[in-house]
Amino acid sequence: MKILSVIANRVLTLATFSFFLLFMWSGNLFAAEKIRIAATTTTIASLAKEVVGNAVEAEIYAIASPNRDIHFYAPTPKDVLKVKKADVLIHSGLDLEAWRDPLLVAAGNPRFLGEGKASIDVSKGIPLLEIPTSLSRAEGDIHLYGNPHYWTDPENAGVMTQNIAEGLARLYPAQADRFRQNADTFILKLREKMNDWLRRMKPHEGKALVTYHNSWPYLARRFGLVIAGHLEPKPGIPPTAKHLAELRQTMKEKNVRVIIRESFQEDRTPQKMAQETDAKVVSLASSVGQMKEATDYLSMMEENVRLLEEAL
Amino acid sequence: MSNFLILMWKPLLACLVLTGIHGYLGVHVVERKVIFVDLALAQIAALGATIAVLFGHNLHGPSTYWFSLGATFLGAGIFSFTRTRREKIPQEAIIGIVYAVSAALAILILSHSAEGDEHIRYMLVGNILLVSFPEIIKMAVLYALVGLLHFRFRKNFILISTEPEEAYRQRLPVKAWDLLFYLTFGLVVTSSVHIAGVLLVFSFLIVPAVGAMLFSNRFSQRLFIGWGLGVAASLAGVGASYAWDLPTGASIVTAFGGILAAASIFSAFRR
Repeated sequence: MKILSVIANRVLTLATFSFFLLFMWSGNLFAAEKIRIAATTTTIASLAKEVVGNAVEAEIYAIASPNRDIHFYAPTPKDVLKVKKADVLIHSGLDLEAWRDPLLVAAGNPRFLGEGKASIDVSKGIPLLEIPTSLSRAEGDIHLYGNPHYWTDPENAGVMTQNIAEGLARLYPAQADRFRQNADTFILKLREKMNDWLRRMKPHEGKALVTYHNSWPYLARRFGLVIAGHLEPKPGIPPTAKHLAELRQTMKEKNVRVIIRESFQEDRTPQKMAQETDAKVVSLASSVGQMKEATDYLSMMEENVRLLEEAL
Repeated sequence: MSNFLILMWKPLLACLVLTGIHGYLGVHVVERKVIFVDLALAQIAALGATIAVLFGHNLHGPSTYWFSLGATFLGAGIFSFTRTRREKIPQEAIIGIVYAVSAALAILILSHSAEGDEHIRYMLVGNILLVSFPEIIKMAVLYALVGLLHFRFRKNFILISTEPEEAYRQRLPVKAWDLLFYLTFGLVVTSSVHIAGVLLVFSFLIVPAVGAMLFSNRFSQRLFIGWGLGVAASLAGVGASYAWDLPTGASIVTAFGGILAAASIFSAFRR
């Protein structure tokens, strides 16, 4: 009897152990299929989510917080860990993210370093505005390739989505069709919304506005708005008295009703200028998640258009 | 744990290198009562880099480094020249003036270039989390050389810091030794600030030395206690930054504050 119980015990232990092994193995199998994507911005992460859909199981991590100036984000240990363990990196290209290269070096993930092929640059094929003619920093901008705030034009979001789909298709050929299909579906939805936005903004065509930083030329061009000037005399230089005096004059001459700022920019100067010129300050979202209404790309643009419509 | 080491070994190693040299230089700085001298020198280095940018050099290029080193040496000259035997104007005042004027000059120069503010901010805010291994090696070699020089002439260096009157009495060329001290100090601070940022460098310099003063009056004992406090704060700060996903530099500075507070309470009870 005792022997029987010992044998039963052994069998039970063995069965438990094998189950455990099987469980671990299947867990690993799952883990291998899950794609880990690190996106440099919340906007890119939102577009990537559309492309991935339910084609594969994926974890999409957005690095930079939407509530900071995207140029000067300071990565945290979690960011380094996520990039280290990521299978794919999707970034804005150009020189938007000054912190991108140091972060990649610190994470040391060979997929994204040197000849690493698992990076997707979403800016490919986007016609850039304000490409500098001379490389002098004194006159121009630190952006050597052109203005990098291209995603505020929904048309460009379509190109970005295509780039993500093509990049993922190249890396995961088995799911290529699903990625492309998801991208097409999203772009169709985007086009529909775009027609609606264009229709709603049509009455405001030709109206002038002022922005804090030079982040909105793409949006302005798409909706036929005219940017009369910026509160910053040059990108990154805080407003000066003489510049503001000149700008006040311009605003009166061109009948500017709206000053656009982003939530991380100070509010005192825009409010003061608005008071003096009888204009309104509008805080737009330049990244997904910057305000609670902007939960994904479409809702962000919807909210931006709604705010502009209301103010103009 | 393994993730912690994989991610944080470079910042941690950089912290240990910083503790080594700054723990030592900090004892000098506190003895000399020139607490903010590193901020002033870092600001002068930033001014030098600004001038390089004005002449069309790349902000991160080698020529810009020489510009900022040259400016730092000029600052070292000013600080050694203004330390006189019978002090009429406190040296801390001169340090403050140099800091304010060089910061203002940098703003003036950059007000005509794009992204001006950010140039200065970038020079003064390093991110220790993203330090690279070659940077750590370069820093370690440079600081070892400075450390060797100071060890070779330790008697003179310590004498002019702790008992300048005695040094004058022994007819030592005090100004020349002062200049050498500030030259080596400037070299160290410029490199450290580039990697760790002003806040963190200031903490590495001052907190261990001040903490050690609570426990000992002897230079060598202060040095070892300071190193101990520096290592403890580095470990606690880097650990907290990892555990709660906080900015690494600020976590270490806060850890320094906490450890100094704990050390003061401990020393108060000991008495």
